[in-house]
Amino acid sequence: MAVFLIRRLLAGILLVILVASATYILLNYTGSDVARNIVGETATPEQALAKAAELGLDRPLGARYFDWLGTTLSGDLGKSWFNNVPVSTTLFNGLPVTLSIIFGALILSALVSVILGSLAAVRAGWFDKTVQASAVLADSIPGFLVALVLAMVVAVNLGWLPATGFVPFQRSAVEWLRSITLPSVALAFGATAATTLQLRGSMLDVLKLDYVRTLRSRGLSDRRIVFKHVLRNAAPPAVTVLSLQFIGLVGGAVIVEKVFGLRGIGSIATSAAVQGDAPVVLGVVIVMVLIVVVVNLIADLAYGWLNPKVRAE
Amino acid sequence: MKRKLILAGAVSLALAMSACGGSGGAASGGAKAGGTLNLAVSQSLKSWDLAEASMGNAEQYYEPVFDALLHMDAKGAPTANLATSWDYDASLTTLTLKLRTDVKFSDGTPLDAEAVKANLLHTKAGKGEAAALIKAISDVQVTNPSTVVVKLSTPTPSLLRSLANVPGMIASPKSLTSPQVPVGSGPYTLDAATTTAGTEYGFVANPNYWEKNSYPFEKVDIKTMSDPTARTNALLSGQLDGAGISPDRVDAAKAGGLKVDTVTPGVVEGLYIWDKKGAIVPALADVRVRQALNYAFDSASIVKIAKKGLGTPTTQHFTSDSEAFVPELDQTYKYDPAKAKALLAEAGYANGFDVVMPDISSLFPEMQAAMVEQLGNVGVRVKLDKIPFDQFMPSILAGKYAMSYFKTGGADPWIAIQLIVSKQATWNPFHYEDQHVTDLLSRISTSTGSAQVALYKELNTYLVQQAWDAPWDVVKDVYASSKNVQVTMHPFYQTPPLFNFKPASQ
Amino acid sequence: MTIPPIDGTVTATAASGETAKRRHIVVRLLQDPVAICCIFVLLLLTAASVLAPFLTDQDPIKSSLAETLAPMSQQHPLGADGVGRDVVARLLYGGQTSLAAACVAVLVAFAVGVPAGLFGGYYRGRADAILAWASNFIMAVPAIIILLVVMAAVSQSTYVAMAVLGLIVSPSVYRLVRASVVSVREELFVDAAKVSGLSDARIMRRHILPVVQAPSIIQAAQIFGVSIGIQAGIAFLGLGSPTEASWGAMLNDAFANIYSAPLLLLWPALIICMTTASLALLANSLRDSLSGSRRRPTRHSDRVRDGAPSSEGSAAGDFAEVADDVLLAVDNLKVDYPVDGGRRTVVDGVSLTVRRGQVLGLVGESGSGKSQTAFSLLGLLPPEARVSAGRLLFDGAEMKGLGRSAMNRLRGKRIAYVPQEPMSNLDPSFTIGSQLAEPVRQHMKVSAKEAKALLLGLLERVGINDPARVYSSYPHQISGGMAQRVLIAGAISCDPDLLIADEPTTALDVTVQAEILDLIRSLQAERNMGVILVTHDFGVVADICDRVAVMHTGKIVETASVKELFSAPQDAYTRMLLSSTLEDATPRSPLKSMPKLPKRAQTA
Repeated sequence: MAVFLIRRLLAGILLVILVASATYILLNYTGSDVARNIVGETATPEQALAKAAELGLDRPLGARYFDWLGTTLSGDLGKSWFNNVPVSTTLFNGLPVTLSIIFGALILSALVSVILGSLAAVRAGWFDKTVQASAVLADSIPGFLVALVLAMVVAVNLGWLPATGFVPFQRSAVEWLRSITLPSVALAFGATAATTLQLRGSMLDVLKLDYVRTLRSRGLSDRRIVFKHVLRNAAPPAVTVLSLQFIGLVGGAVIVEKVFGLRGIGSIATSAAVQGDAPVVLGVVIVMVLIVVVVNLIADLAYGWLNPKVRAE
Repeated sequence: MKRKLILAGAVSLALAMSACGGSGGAASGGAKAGGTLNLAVSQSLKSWDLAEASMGNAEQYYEPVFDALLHMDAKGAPTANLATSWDYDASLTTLTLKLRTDVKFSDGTPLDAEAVKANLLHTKAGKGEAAALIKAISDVQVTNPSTVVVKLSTPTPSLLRSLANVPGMIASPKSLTSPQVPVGSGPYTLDAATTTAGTEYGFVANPNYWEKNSYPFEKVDIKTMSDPTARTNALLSGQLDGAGISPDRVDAAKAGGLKVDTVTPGVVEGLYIWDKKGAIVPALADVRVRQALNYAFDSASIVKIAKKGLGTPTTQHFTSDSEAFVPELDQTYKYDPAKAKALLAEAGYANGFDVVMPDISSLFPEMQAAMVEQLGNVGVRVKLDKIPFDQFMPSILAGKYAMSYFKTGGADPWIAIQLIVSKQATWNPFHYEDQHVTDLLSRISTSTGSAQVALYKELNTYLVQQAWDAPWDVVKDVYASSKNVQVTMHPFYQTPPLFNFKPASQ
Repeated sequence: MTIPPIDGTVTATAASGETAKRRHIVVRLLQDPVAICCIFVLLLLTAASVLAPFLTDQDPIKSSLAETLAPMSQQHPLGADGVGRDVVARLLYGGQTSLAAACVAVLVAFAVGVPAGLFGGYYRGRADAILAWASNFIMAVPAIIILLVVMAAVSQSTYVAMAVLGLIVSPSVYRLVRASVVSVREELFVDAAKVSGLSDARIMRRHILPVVQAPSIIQAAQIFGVSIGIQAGIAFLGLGSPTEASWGAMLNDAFANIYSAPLLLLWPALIICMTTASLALLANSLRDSLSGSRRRPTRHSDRVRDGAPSSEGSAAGDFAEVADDVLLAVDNLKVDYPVDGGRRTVVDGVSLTVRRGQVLGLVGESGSGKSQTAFSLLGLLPPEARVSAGRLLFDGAEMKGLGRSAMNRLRGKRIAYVPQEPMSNLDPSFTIGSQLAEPVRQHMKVSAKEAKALLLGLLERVGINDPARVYSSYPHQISGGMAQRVLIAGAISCDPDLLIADEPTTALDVTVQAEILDLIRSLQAERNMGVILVTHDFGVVADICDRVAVMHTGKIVETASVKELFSAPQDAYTRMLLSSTLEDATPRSPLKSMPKLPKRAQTA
């Protein structure tokens, strides 16, 4: 197991380096005049040139790339070209927001999909059909429409929950929960649908298995069989799907953050990408891929933990 | 642009503040005396370093912590603040300031002439928008701890108003350069516990502030909210006490029980003709062509429909707050597409001409649509060039486009000139120079009083005749506030300054 | 609860599914009303976009200041947008851009994914490993961020963005194709094709591509839907190209005007949702028709229905009127399943009697209905099965019409079941102890500790040497023979009156078979249980049964005592069955199984 973990971790780090390198080259390939953007409209062309020199933009791409790779590998993500704030600080401020809503959505969709997926698997007929159809539909509705409707109806019109903003957990747990509820729900919408369908499918597969019939032959109640045995055996593929959903949620967060005016990784990435603030974009990419690697690792571990055969090895 | 150099201005028109009437909709949140004032700003905070500071609505970030040397009254006349008196010499290049002696920064350092000198020299050397306003400062001399002398390389009529805003803000000399936490002598200090850099800045009252009565709130919370819909939503759901909104949200804001005020920060929008030399589009070198472009626009309809009435049609760069304003000039180019075509034909462009412009539909869709349509009506064929919207201004500065939609300006005529007219003006990317204009400018800078005003008007008239640009209207910005606060607009600030916020009277 | 059929008896339905699968996928789709609706909607949208110039004379790009936010009118049936462009025209022309851009994404994804999948799956080896790695690499990339960078830095064009998206989703195509190729490759016909000297390219074209086709269509539909959604998302972030007419650009305009004209948001949202939902539902229908199970059976009542009592002498089975020692009495049991246009009867009028302490062998070839009979007695048939009986008496009480919870009080407690395949009948995720203890605690109302003590004793009783270790083991940690002992211990743990064993030795080694049979026999004698032993093996029958019922095509053809049956089989089918058994199998000596008492004494 330890060997496996180390191998996965190394592969993950390699992945981070490759993705970041690809992004670096993409960013530097662009023709936009970043230095001009940074020094602002009132600066003279000389100031813009000076800025470009300061950022090293006048040096050849190859040399810049290796410099960047070196400092990045040493753990230094650099400073934003635009406001000189260290990238790590920006990310550190944005991560709690994004992770709060992503994990909120993940937990929400895990809970709801377990309930809906198992009920749909067990109850053939209209209930199953309704769940299936709504899941397919929910999966196909663009997430920001859900977010927008939630913001307009629940927050603005009904005033039940805040329409914008994020309250850090350490400032107030209740306010934190209130501030992430709507974004999480909006984000969870599509993920829940997909996971529900997946769970339903894998539970149907498990229900076909011999041991389920044997369990029934022992007079165990359906509820017990479904929620203990079937769910437990259908969980590993659902965990895999959930970990894939995570990558999707990272993307969804970009849009949901905009709707709810949250300054998370997603909106940081959007504004940095548009400005051409390369250090910030690269920082975001590195951190996101790292998170994805870690989440996949956790999913692998959970998979192993749920599967006694793997666990025993 | 919207956030460009707003301050300055001349005759001021104190905007009628809508008194806190209306039916008592009990909004949530509590901006009462001793409570928290919740505001949102669309721009993000670039830096706490005043040398890097932006202006426009970003001014609000600096106002709680930093106090400025001067204040302005509603007419734009300087009033005492950190400086108790100010005197120019006859040449208008030496300004002597007397300072209060009882002020300390929140880190305990006394605010004295040395601190002011360090600040002015630090800020002017920077690259921010605030720095650009005081570039003419050539030196600062300390006479005694309460007296400084500011030397100017050229007379700068807008200087006093600049010193009443971010360029005149004074930070503790110990944290001048790239501070992580701002240290000033202002009415509030930054509260780390309620601050998340880039998102939200919390401020608590500075117990040692010398003029507490002007700032009745115990706390101020400023959030960065770039998305206009998010801002509107936050206002409507009671999370904010004040924020700027876009013109098409006015009805929704009013229906939601908010107060809506407008402010005219001296910004003029319209078709800016960059290439008056005719380097890219030769037609533009012909004054008849530029005049034709002025006749082509139905400014009244643009204001009425695209701006939802929030603007004043105009043909000049100087607004009614400005000494250079000549009301009659607005009659010069009445909407007349036939006349426009005739002028074009006269100039040899009977079939119109082609021009490439940056595609700004992601920023100003209505403006672009109106512009393309009305230019098309007189035979000017616009080809739109797709660019990322952050490339809009840099590409104009780089001289890539012969003309485009734009908005800029300032209520102070000198600032407007430095932005648009002079050879080195920021928004004169082709560095077009007209000798008559240059002569007028040098005479203006060395004159004062009514003589100066007359010269300003002469310049204005000449610019309109020359069809320097094709302005459509003077922009009105919209500021919405909750019923919990009473806000007074100030014509020299795009967003109302902090001292103009008071709790609603009970 | 759905438990799909497992017994050979129902392979008929599965087989009919097989034939159906061979029918053309399009034909099958056209039988699904949902699919027809989706295809109709998609065709309509495509046609409307293509025919836009004929459907409207408005220009989708030309804006008009005077028409800004114009209300619905003759000229603008859905009004005009924030800069005075006709909404209908933009919807129609916008479809061209949006649909074409989505096509770009699909084409790129397939242009990259299909060759990679074919290549990797067909040649395997190092190239495959590299491709797999590359695909994992791309899948870990946050797509939206990359799109943001590309759109901000390289090009604002929707088409470029969609091409990049196609690249980002291409691993899903690659994985699908590769998996299909790998499975096909293993199949014989590729080997045969290879032997006959076809080129690789030809094999791919002739044999592999057809297999990949159908799942690829599903994948394409999904990618198409995702692309439409992503286009909208990009437009929402303000990165699209707002001047060209597209649904995303319409959304962008609508967002800007959300407070002044909220209705503007409705049209593009509606059309986007319609498109993506149709695609998703279509993909779903396609998948259903591919997997052959279009409709999940709705649950029938678990209850055994009333059936007619068997008429005198109509069946060869015996149904004894209630007597003191009769444990189970079945009269005229019928089981049928729905098949295309009717029902197929798999158990047809079976009558049986099992007395206390008696072992009844239920013998027949696969497909004879013997297992179906056994499951119907336990109420374990799949939901679509319909069961009826004239009478169904257990210990003198009528079982017909018993509901699920009433059955659960019987099952495990009074009627127990030993399955055929030991390994697949243990839940792999729980320890043996925990899954055995569960019913014991439920039926006997004992504590966990007591249940464990009881089970450890039972495990020892069924011949397990180290009960404590097995108790805490997971199923994969024990052997098949041991698993069967565990299952037997589980079956008898609540002291049942009737044990139904379905081919309990078939899956085991010959040496273990005898031990298990001995165990069942000794437990039966020790506890005076009635046993129904379902088997196809007359050797087993001879070994432990008292009476035998022979089944053929759902009917009992003969019931007799073991002695009678072996010495004088009455029915022709029985004789045939017996002779074939004697020919190809060494029967256990009937004599050996006769002295039952010593054996019991030996094990007890």
